[in-house]
Amino acid sequence: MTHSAVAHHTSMGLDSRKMAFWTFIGSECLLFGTLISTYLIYKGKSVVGPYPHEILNIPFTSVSTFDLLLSSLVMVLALAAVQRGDMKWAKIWLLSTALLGLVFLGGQVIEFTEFVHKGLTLQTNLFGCTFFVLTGTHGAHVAVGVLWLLTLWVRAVQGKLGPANAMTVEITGLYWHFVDVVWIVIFTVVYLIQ
Amino acid sequence: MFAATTMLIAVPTGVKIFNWIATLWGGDIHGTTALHFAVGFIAMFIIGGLSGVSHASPPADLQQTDTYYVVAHIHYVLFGGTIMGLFAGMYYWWPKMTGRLLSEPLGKLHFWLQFVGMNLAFFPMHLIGLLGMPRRIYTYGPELGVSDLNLVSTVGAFLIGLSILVFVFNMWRTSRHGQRASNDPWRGATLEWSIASPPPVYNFSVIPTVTGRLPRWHTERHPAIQDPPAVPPAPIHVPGGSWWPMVAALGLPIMALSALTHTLWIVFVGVAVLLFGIYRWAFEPFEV
Repeated sequence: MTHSAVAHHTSMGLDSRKMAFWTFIGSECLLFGTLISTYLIYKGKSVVGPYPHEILNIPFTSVSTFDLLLSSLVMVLALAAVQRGDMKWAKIWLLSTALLGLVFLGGQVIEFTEFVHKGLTLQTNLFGCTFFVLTGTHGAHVAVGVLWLLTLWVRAVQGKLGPANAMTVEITGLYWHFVDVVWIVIFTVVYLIQ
Repeated sequence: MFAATTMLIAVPTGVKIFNWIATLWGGDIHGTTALHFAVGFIAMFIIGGLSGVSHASPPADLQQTDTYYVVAHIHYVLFGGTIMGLFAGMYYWWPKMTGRLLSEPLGKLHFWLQFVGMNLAFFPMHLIGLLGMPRRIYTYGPELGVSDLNLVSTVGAFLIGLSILVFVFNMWRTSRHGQRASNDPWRGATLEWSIASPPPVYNFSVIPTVTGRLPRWHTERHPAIQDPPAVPPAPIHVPGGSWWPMVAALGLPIMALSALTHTLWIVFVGVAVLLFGIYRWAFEPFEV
């Protein structure tokens, strides 16, 4: 991250770090694929409540979803700013992306707390078990992303991030958009299609 | 169904055995310790395969299930197959890994002790099982008539133990007084023998261009490749050394051990160590 190394190209003409990151995203697809499949397989199989339709708050989560979508847009602006060397706006957009991620995490904390108060925990039923593991894993990914973005922001403030490191920001963006896309799938599958 | 799948697995196993024999046929055979183990492996594995395919007959399988017969079978496959194969690999690649050749006389002593030991230990188990001794039960009455065969097995097991001690002694002796290995002590056909023993950190000073399956041998179709030069003609990129992967790896056993003892706060310490290691690792220079 610190070192603006010469880009090493693979035989596909792609920077090897980017290639490796796409491979990582592929393995993440498998991870979330299994968790989403598990959720769908056990959907409607809970023998005790609370059931999804009693507890899921679509308007509240829609706001979280919008927040996360907005953060993806801001991430694109951050990358564009870094690429053209406009570090003032790069700092603003990187910090904004991280803050929007934090807002999403805050929403998840509020949601989980409310569910636990209504009696839904990891041990309650199949819905609780599969729901918390799926959305919790996604939340952990957002948390890693926020940490990553804040690290980039600190490096930008220190003046150690510039157009030479645009690839680093681009890869961060890949991760962030991927986490966002996964949330779109979770929001659709878990919340909208009940 | 069980009979059919048991019969079926004999087909790829048989193909593998012919692969190994064909590999020997195409090779350049010397009576080294590694070859002793390789041939011992094929022979023992065939015995394990034959006793295995006998499970495909349901009436025979009924008699064999959960007796010492299957213990004999699995040991011919796993000990005769895997362990002998592992030792063949050890003796073969030891000079490449460490730069010193394991002692051949000690190696052959190891092989013969282990070979005789494993056959004494595991072959009688076929008979013990067919005579009715169940597996996973260590006691038996004298009236069962398996005492003598079990004694033979025990003697064999101690021979195997002795052979491993010979190997341990051989490793220790080699590390002190072992003969230095050249690049290619076996006249090997494959690329690892074209570089120094032990290999330099960058492995190949120049990426070799391979045209045949036995690149270092002159065959009818392909000439032997040139060995790469000992000194790299151009600087080679090598990843920089870093301690942070070790720190990250340390976090995992902390997590696992504390989870086993149900101490949640130490699990979180482990997670913190792991994440901190990964985080600092990300800041290491990409290359040196």
